[in-house]
Amino acid sequence: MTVKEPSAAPPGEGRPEGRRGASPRRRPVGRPGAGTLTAFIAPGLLLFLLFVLLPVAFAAYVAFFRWNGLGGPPTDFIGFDNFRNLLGDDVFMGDMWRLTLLVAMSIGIQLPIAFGLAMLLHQRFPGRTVFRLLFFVPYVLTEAVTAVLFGLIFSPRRGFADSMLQSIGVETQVGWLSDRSIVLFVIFGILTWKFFGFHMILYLAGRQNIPEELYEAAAIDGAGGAQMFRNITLPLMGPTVRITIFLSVIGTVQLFDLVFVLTGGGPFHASETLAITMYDQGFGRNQIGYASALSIAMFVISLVFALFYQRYVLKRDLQGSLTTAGGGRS
Amino acid sequence: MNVRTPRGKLLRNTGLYIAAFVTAAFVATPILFALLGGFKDNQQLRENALGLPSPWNAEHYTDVLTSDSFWRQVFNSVFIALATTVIVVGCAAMVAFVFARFAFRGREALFTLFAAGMMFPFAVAVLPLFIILRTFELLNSPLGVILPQAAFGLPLTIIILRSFFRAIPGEVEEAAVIDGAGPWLFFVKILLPMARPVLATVSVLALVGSWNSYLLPLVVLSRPTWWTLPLGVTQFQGQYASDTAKVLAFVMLAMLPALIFYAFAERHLISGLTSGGTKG
Amino acid sequence: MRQPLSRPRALAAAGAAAALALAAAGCGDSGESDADLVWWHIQNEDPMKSTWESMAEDWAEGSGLTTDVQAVEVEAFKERMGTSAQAGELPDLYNTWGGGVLAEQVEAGLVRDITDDVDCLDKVNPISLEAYTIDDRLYAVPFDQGVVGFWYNMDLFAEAGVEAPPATWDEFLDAVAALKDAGITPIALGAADQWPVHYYWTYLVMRTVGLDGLAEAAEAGDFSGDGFVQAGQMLADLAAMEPFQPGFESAGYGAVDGQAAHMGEGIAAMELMGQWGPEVQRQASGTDGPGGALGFFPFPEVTGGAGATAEFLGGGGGFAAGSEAPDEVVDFMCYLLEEENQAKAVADGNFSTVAADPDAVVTDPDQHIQLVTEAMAAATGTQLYLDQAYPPAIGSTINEASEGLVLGQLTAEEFVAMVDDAWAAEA
Repeated sequence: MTVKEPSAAPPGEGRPEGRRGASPRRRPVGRPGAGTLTAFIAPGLLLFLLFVLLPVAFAAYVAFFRWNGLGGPPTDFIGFDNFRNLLGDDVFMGDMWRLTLLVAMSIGIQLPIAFGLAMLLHQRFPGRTVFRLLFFVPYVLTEAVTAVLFGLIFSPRRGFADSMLQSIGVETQVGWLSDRSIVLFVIFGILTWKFFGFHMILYLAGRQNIPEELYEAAAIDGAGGAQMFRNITLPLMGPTVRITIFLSVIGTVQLFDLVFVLTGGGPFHASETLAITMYDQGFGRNQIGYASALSIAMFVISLVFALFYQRYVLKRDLQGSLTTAGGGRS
Repeated sequence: MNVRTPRGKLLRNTGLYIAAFVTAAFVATPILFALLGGFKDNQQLRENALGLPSPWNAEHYTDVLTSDSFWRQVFNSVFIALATTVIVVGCAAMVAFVFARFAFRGREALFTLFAAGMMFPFAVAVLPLFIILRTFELLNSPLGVILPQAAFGLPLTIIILRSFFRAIPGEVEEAAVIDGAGPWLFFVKILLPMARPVLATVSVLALVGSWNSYLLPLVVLSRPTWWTLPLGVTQFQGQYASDTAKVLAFVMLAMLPALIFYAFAERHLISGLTSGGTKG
Repeated sequence: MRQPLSRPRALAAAGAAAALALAAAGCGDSGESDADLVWWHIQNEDPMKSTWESMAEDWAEGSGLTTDVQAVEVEAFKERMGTSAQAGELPDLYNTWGGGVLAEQVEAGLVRDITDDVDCLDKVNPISLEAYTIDDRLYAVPFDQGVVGFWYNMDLFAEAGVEAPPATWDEFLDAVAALKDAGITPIALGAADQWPVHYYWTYLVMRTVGLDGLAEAAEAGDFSGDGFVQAGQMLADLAAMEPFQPGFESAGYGAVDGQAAHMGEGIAAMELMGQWGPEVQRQASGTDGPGGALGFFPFPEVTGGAGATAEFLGGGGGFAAGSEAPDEVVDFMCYLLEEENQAKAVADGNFSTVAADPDAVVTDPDQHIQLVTEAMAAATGTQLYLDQAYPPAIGSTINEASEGLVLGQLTAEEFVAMVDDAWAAEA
């Protein structure tokens, strides 16, 4: 989720005095000394340094070695070789291509579907709450468990998906997960199943924040539905849309659980992701140095994208704060 | 579309319901497949994949429910999720409190450091994290999962809590000072109780994150003693390859806690997820 | 708020997180199994699962130690061994196939050298120790040994009019074509697991360049010879005939609708697999398998190649001890090798015996294991599975490239180049 000075209180909780953005008075309670401040910060900072910053720094260091991770610390310094090899690695370059493809499909298909459904559920009609609750269910399910379920659904001989097709008269067997040319699209379908509800909820919240008065005024001026959508809804939903695109990209870069359990990245890398390649190199082949270089590459990809996006796309929305992702995926 | 005439309204509503029901079917079918599949036997699964079980066969569910490993994995998942949540919310609240209410040199830099932590995709850190945990001898221990998860949860939690703490009026603080409260007392007795709703929200986010986590437990917990449910499910699938119905029952039961939790904490979960996504 | 609480209490409350961390740390210690002897094996189905379990219990009673026996599915097992080796600690006793994978563990100091401690080797066939002997030191005791060959469904072969098992690669291709014409899936393959595919490539290499040629090439780290490319091309040509079951690309070996299940259900006519093939066919399909209709023939020879049909790809299973294992682990190894226990394991696990005196162990030989035993008796040479014989980086590359070749994603030349790159990186 992305947060910059949000009213942290949930909608309907009554936000504290609506003083958001107002600078709180700097009147420290009891004028605490440096010791007290340190005591407050220390546990969190220590945790953060040890388990977030140290690993990333360590990966950056190991990436310059050939190291199988066994025995002592790395000694075989090879400079930028690992990074150079990455660029010549078909699997890595394939990962990048698949990442691009998944991101493009997310933005072009998944997010518009979520947007449409949000607009739909914004209407008042009986049963709306039930639909909203239901659409969000896949998001709360564990990815790895979902993957096991879909593995059975798309299983080649007793699979549920094939039975469904047969029941409507389609007799050909589809190689859902075995055909290299469609497996990525099947995975995208599952990702859509899993994550459209999340984006839909964000859009719904964004839509609910648009004052109805705007529409009423527009209606009085004789604007039609399409006009209202184009001139009111779309522009005012802009910030939410930009955030969901951001979350979608960052989530896709990290994609691991679902694909790893479902296909392991196969057949022959057709559904492999950056994180799977890293896992395979690191734990499957003991190429810790190379896998670390891959980690760093992933980090740089996320960072460059995040900074670029913050700088040029989100700037208007967030006034330049550092923000980002946690829960969202493609 | 003119929605003001009855006919237009009817048309509109029909369209609405068609779209809603199609989506509902898309969402619900896989879950129903798991639920019903668990009640079938393997022969039914093959010959009657689409229909209702006949006869209904609860054996797979009872098998799973009476197995020690299932309950152990449920316990592990719950324990790890709770411990992660307590640590991340506790640490983050203290840090956010200082960031929100006190001015000191280096505050912005420190805050930026934490906030930048959100840029680190978890998958990036998993390999070096593994080596660091190895050095600390935290592999095969729940702490090896809990502490990194908590650490990676800090940035988001701090950001949400900080903005909430900042919004609490200074008068509250002044009153506390007059009563002789120091920072610790103010924090524990006044600030935290006031922040209950937002604490619930960040706790739910931390719980869900931990509950769903797979990659970290996968590399840290190589022995089943501390396996969490996601690891258990994938392992179960490998073990009962020939018994699809049983795997479906396990999958369904593994999804159930999340579904129940969602039913109760839906409001907090959604508010947590949307608190930043919109400029609310 | 008029009565401010004492500061210590506030502090205590604020430190709740720390306290919980400590509590969790306490639990953490018990996260490591507190049993004296932790044992990982891969016989995760009954009856063998229970048999190992009860042997461990019986031994534990006599020795006064506690045991923790974990039956892990083989793919998960490999994964966990990978992370455990990286973690720098292996279980006290664990399944191994020997070879380069074991050697890398030994080199990292993770495996116990049992050469001087184990005094029951008179009970096993010395040949079965070769895979676990590295620089003249022994690191594991065997429980199973055998060879890889074609398990075939004689009924389906007959249906397709194939009278005798093919002896040459050309005859083999003819048989595949005949089976296809008869509407039968000729070969079951679990390409997603990769290692079942590497058997094909390895065998073709063994037939073209011969065992000596393979050993020399491995020594030199150079697979660019003609025979290697030729073998790859032959495998690619086989794959081009589309002899595998639909969906083989995403099928596992023992998984749902996988290779073994196709054989067990009598859908596919043959699979190239080791001595455990028939057992897994039954388990993965939940059926009794083809039973008496299941035959075995050695990998056919390649006309003009240096190899012979009597040279087998093979290996078995053994148990190695982690370097942190208690001294008693050696007693347990010997306990497992007691003839009575070997007999039980061979019967329940359908293993192919490693006993020095097979007759003392095998009273009622399994019909299929008997076929493997006969093949081994006639063997003139063996080669350990390449994905175990070589260091993990090489083995994984060969597995991966085999998959790529069969899926038409790599040419025979690219295959060889990939493996040579891996050799170069390892050097």
